[in-house]
Amino acid sequence: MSEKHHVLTRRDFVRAGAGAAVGVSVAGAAWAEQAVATPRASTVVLVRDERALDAAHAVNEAVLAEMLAATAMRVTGAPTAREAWRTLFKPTDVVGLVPTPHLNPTHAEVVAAVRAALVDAGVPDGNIRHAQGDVDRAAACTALVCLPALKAHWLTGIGTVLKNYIMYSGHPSHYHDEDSDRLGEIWLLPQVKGKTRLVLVDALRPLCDKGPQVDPRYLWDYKGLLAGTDPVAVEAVALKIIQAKREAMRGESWPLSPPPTCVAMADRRYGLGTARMTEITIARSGWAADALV
Amino acid sequence: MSHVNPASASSSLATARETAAARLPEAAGTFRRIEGARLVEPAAIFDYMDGAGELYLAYRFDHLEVVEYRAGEGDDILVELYRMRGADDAFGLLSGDWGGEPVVLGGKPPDDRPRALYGAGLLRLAAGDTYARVMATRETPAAREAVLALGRAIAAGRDPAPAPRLVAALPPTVGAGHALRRDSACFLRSHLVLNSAYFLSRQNILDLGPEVDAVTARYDRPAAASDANRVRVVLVAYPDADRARRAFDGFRAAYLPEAPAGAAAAGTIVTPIEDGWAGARRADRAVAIALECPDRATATAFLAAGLAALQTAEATHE
Repeated sequence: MSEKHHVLTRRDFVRAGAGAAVGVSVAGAAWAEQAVATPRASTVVLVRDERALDAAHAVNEAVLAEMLAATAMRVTGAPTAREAWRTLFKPTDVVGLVPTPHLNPTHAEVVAAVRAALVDAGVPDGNIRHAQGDVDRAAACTALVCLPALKAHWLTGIGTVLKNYIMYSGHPSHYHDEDSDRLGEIWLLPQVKGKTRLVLVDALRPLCDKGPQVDPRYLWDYKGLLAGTDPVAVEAVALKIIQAKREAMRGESWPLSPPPTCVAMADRRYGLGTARMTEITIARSGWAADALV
Repeated sequence: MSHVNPASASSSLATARETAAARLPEAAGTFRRIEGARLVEPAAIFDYMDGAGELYLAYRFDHLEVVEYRAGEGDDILVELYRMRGADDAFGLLSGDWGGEPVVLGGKPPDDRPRALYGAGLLRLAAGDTYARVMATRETPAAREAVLALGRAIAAGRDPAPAPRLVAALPPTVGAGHALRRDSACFLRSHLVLNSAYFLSRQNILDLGPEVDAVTARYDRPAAASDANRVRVVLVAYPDADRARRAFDGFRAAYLPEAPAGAAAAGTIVTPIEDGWAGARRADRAVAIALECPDRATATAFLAAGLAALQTAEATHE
């Protein structure tokens, strides 16, 4: 049976374990076949602070700034936040910020904190742009910061890092359901490829189920930032947090459905990074309670 | 509301058909209605939800009415009235998640399933052919009262519709003590919704669609809650026997290709697979599927019970 005509079923996942069966799925665009060589070891930074949100879920901006500084230093190994951001971005860069605008939107405070950190590191404010939406916005940038909020999605399983660039495709509905395996190819569009210097997930108040609209019963105060330079590794850790929260909430097995095959596909087919937890080091910092990973 | 894209998604209600939104009050507690109720037609739902309207289109969606209330900065209530082609569709949307606190807003439901569920500032309800979401951006006691008051206004004058016949026909127990998990029963017409409840296949291998009635549910063996003691059923009523036969054959080819051709031709398959015993049975325009059964006898019992439920639903229809 050809790869193109294989019907992917539950049995494929049961046979191989979730995520392992995705190699049999649909063919991608020709340019996407050129997988990017990436190291098979990645570090994902998780920084949490119990003070990040108050009882009404409002963001404590001073605490957030501390968390962001700690995150940048841990991602780069630089001794100060300013040096960390300078490691990632040059003053001559045109930096596109790519937050998620819907379902569980990226907190505006997170976007503002990243902008402030970039300015502090010497990137002119005029060189920092909102780059979510049309792919022309990405094309106009020399560097991107992927800034999604942590959330599940009813058509793709998880809707965080990889799905954050879906609007760049120009056809978001072409990447839902059975076609969500191909989300990784968007990261290889000529206007996007190689530009993402930092993936920073707003995990202050994630959403662990459903959509297409928010059900607030599935939001919880995690009070974290999750970051790295490998988008697939960051997504893999994000997925682990979501799955662990679901099982803690129900007290029984509650797998994401449909299974989030886009994560393993971004590794295997598109070479965007590693989805294997054995190849990922999680560098934790701060509040440890209910970290879930 | 961040997910709403009103400029491109909606039209004024001024020229629209008689609307449910028109029956909503000008105020609910301290929340005042904001001018400019909006109408969202099916073609615009993707704009309204930024590319996530598939859930509503997966049922027989007619149109959406949107009304907003405000009590102050950051204290809003969004009312979304999804007008469906039938009460089964509204019920189906509610049945995707039975979590939350059951509340009675109007008439008592004709069965023991709630028609309204509240949790963390969000009220979801099915009233006649309307499925509604009423959500406060910030949950407070006053917001909760206002949300429930709006729910009562939506439900007013609409007696709760009966559950879809297939849902009502689900047997409470099957075989050697497997009991229906009532919070798992989901009425559906689309493989997207089926996959959200229970992932079967990326492709539409059961040929589901708007003309099809289907239900999926889980049965647990009491005092044995591990995955190994769960059974999943999918019951489907097609518009005609020919489509049911084609769907049965398609399911066999995609999911149970090892099943003997003779058994498939006779309309019954029971075979061991990776996660237990699986089976499918067809009769007239009905197809029953049982998955993750611990043994052949259990699979056979579930197929018989499923087909009986389908026939009961058919009989009550007539």
